[in-house]
Amino acid sequence: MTTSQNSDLKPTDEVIRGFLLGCLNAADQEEFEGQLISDERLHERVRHAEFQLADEFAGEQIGRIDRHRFLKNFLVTTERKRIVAASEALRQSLSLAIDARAIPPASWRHLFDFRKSAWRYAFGALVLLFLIGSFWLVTKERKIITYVIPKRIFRRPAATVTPQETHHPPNTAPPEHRESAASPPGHEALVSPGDSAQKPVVVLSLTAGGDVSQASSMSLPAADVVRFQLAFEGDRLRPLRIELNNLEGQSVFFAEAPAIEKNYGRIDFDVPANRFKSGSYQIRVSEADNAEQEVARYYFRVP
Amino acid sequence: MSPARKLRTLEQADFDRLLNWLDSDPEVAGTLYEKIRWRLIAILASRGCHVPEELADETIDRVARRVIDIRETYVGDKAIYFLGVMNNVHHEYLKRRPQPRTVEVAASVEEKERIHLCLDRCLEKLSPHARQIIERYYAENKRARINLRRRIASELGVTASNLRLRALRIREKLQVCIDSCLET
Repeated sequence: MTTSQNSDLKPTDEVIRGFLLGCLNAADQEEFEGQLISDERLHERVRHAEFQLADEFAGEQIGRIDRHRFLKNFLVTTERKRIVAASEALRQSLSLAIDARAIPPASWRHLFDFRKSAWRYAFGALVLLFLIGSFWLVTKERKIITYVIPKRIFRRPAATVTPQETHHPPNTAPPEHRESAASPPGHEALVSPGDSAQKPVVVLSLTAGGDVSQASSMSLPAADVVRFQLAFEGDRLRPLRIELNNLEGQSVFFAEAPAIEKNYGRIDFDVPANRFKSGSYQIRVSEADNAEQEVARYYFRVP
Repeated sequence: MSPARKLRTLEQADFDRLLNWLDSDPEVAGTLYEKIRWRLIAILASRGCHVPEELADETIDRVARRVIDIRETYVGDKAIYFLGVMNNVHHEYLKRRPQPRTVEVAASVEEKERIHLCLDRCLEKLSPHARQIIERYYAENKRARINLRRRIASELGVTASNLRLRALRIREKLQVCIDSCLET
């Protein structure tokens, strides 16, 4: 085969494209082949045209007829298939990169798009940090826990005689009183609630003898000292004055109960048994610094 | 020595003789060989041949076997001699019964992933300037692409055709890099 090196065919871009797509006429094809086989510069142009054609195909920017020619006459070598595959990959990755750069964020809301992975990771880390911090506090800083949750105070257990309340309706049998072995009287003084062991106890509730006509009749235990337990309502936040009188007005017992923080719901005091005779008695509880301010009043009768 | 081994030995000797005929410098000869092969393939493909690489290699083999006879007498562009032999090979191909063309199978997901991976690696190897040119050259939208290329060319102080040439050269380098990456 002989080719003319001085042909009239101008290897324009269109001719090169026609050559690659296999659509040149026979004369131009033969002439072009002769030029290509020995023309270094044309070789480079055809090579570049290959890339451009592959890019167009990958970007679906090629017409239907040319697409058919492309598949039939161009995409027939391993190298060209690789070029097309690379063009597709290049178009995808670089177009995405360019799009991402070209489009500015619409607003600051773009920055605070919580659907972004970065925000999700940030929230996850925050929750994790919170859990680790809580665990550290529980294990290392017990003082804070005891500060937040006050320590429960348990009262010291003491053996006491179960009191019996004189809730008796009028005209009924006198209440029974539990008695135990009497101990020698000490002195007239209020006693702590836990100090009632081994002593006979008389329990008076506010409602039991609120009126002298409803005074309960009770037989005092055969002991040297009788312990009274006055049940009352409300807090005992101020010092109280306790007076035990007979109905004639003679004082049998007198004491002051200091204010205490906790409301025990009762006041205990011991009275020597020999001070009681047959008759009615009144226990009046008032504020220590103001005797006129009565807090409670109790009545009982000794047969 | 078996006939098959003798054939291989002769082929290697013929091939070495061919390279030496193309140029005494082995490196230049290798480059010339690659270029001639590429041109033969391009021409055969353009003629509608479905197996251009196969025919190009057959052409080279025939030339290699004849070099021992023509090297002393042949005058002129050696590439043209290849073209003449290729015409004969192609003519014989056309006379043969046409073989059914293999159906093209789209690249698998794994292959595409490999290509993307190689592309990323090769893009990283580019100089910042080259990378900037090719990244901006490949815009998504066609209309936007044209405007963008005009703007890039203006920014770089070159003509649009010069920009295209630069981008395509970078693209060519990328392809060589990708091919090399895929083969490893």
